[in-house]
Amino acid sequence: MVNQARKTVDRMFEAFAAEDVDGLLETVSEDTKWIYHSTQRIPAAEFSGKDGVARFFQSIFDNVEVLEFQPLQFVAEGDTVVVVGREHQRIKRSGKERKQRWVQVYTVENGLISHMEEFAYTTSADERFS
Amino acid sequence: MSNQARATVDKMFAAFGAGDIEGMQATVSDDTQWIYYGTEDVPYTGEYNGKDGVAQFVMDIVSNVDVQAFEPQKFVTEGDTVVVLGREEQKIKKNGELLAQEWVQVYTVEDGLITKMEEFANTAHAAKLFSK
Repeated sequence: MVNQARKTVDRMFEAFAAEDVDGLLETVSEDTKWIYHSTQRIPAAEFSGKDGVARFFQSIFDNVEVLEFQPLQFVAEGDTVVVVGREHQRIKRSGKERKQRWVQVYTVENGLISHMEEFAYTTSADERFS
Repeated sequence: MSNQARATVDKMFAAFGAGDIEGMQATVSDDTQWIYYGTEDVPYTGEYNGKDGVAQFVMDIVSNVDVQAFEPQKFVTEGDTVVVLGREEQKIKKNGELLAQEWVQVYTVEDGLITKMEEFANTAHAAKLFSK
């Protein structure tokens, strides 16, 4: 049996891969809260509601080209889904690339994502965890 | 039924809370790999391997900070993986700064022993306080 919360997160990832912001917004609740903890390169940020999530994704799609986005591991229990993954982006303005390891923690209520917290680590070719 | 992987992680936390490094080492495999994702400013950043590595990780923490609070708040367990979300407060010994932050740890447990631990926290915030 596939965990119900996991299905919602999978749908969100499909929409993300297609850069479909409207599709993404269908998977989150009105009062959803997204918290991004800082890496050494990227400041912390918090986004609330569908408008906030739309801004979060639009800024990603506007500023970086996602070369690779790979969820590596899913851990689901009850209404919580934890995803561990990695990504490789090119920053559009500078052409620089960066790689990240991340953990995302989703809370899903009534089939909608009500909370997401992301912790990440930015690496690049000259650093230890690349 | 209490998950076996979770039981191992609980034992490790109990030993860590008691400052019992040998007790912690008893919960990890010989080839265990622990990775703390931080920067060089954070003195317990990096990869620690084996039982000696785990002892070194703890030493790198307690020799640089006074752990004033360490609270696992939520456990998410599926199969051999246990994810722990928590918060901590550490007083940085060299400058007296108080680092309060949330963290995520991802444990893999095989045959009752922790074979891998990866920890993520609020890196920029921590690095700033450590470099003061």
